[in-house]
Amino acid sequence: MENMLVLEGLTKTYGDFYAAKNVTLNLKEGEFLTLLGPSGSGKTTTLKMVAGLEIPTSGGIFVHGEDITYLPPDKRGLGMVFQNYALFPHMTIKENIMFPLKIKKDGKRKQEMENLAMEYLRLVQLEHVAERKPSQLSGGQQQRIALARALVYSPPIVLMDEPLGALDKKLRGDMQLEIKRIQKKLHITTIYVTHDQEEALTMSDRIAIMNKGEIAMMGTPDEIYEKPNSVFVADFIGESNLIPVSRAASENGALVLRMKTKKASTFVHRPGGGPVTEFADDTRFVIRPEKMFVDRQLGERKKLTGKMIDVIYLGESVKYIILVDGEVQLKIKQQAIGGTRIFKEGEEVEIGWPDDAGQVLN
Amino acid sequence: MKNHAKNMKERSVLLYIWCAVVMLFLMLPILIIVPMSFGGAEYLEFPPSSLSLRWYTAMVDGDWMTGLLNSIKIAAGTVVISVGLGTLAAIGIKNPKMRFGGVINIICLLPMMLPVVIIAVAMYLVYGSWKITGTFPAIILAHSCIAVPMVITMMTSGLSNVDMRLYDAARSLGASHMQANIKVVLPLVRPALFNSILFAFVTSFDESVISLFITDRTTATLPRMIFNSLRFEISPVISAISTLLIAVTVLIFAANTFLEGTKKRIS
Repeated sequence: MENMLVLEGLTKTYGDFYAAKNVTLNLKEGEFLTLLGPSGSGKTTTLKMVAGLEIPTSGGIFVHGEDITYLPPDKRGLGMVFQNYALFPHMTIKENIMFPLKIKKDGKRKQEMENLAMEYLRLVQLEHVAERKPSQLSGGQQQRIALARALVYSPPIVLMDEPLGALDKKLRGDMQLEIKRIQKKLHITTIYVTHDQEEALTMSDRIAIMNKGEIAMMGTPDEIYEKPNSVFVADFIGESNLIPVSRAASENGALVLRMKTKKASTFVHRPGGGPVTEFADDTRFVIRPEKMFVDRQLGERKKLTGKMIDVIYLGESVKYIILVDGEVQLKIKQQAIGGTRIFKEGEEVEIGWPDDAGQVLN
Repeated sequence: MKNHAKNMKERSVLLYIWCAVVMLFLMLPILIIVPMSFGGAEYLEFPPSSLSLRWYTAMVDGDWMTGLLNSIKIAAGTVVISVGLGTLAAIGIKNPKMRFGGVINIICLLPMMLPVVIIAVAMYLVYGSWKITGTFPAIILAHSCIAVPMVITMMTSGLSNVDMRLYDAARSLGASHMQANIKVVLPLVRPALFNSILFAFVTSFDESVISLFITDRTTATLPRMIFNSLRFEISPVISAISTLLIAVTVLIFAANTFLEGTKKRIS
């Protein structure tokens, strides 16, 4: 399929500071792409450049192959949803939604515009508030109106800048599903900005993780979670154990890794087909807590031994904090099916995981 | 508890009395003018010994109406120029992408910090060499000069209360720079715009120092005529004119307050 939106080496500098650095990505029609990153990582700057609210220092933006890099925002025809809703307080809800239609002046009659506005109000299930002012609506309702307003003129691409950032957790969950439903129904190409990883994993077709103005990794939610390409990504998405290691030996495709501790325990790792990382000073062995298991005796499956220092009950799962080699704390998460295993604090335990779980990353 | 409530009540009564005294102090000189204008004597007296409307008749018959008309023309012109320029300047100053907004703001406010007499002398010299002294456009420009800083102050503070992301939203929805400002930003600063118009008008209408320097017989404003007539005699006509001005001012501000009040109740 042809690329709908292409960003090519998009860069924005303020003096010596790179707000966005060489951002390159493609978006296919109907795709939902999330820019995910900590605050100050350049995700909003990138979105604003696509919207035309910031002018890039270098690089290009293309919609259907047409260069729109320096076009003013009103000539781009993209839809944008803001974090603070940005509804016009002096207009009713219906007038807000009709605003882009009235501005466009494409010969639509007033009645036609009103019908269209009502149609989109139905889409976000808020027909009954048409005559109210924005201040009379709750945050969640206002954001749905903002969404309807950004969609009513059928823009080819919709940009959303942390649209759920101001809502409470429960409402966010509902709105995520709502936005996703509408996005799928209308087949809208979307760029979504958030710092909430759970939101990104739930909603996106693809995620671009941003760090210090650059894209650190781009991939589907499971690629990002299962095969992070760097310590930053592994640490940012979900929970990870990051164990400083060096290479002790390699034998028949398996590596023996040595922990950088005084005791220098070693364990075997079998890279699962991925690229083998060059070892450096800050190389880590990265493994998710839920991939590991713990018991008093593991026999063959044992990789490391440690001391249990905390057991945290989380409802659906249990988290164990274990001190290995007297220096490195590891987290292990296990399903709490059939009650929790009873470990005493200070008890010696054995830790294991499948040979090919985890990754060596820089 | 009861004692406390009683104390509070006593205190609020005292506060009311204090406020009344302050108001009286501020308003009395103005209010005294009104009964004096209805006096029948040849000179100003308070309280008036007899009542008549003769000074109002004298006001309508004399040149005073020309002066009033001149004042209104000049004030209206000042409103158009100063509110137009001041509003545009405020939008520019408040634009986050504007680099020297703060500096430009201070430069625009300079006329407010200069004594009016200095501006008046400067205008007199410059207009003299340009040979435009005494013309309506010249006086309107001079008055705009002192009204613009006021408009800028009021409009920038009005714009500070407007979320500029609404402007961005309007642009992203297809509105041009002008459309976004006219359809979204300006309606949201309507109270400030209204006040700007009012204060620009009153500033010009009230202005006497500059007018003394640069108006001539045909363009003399009301304050200048009052000033001139005071030099020779203290005629009760002036108290009639003053009463008229007070009435007009009170009406305008009352209408403004009333309109704002109903607007708030509606929204």
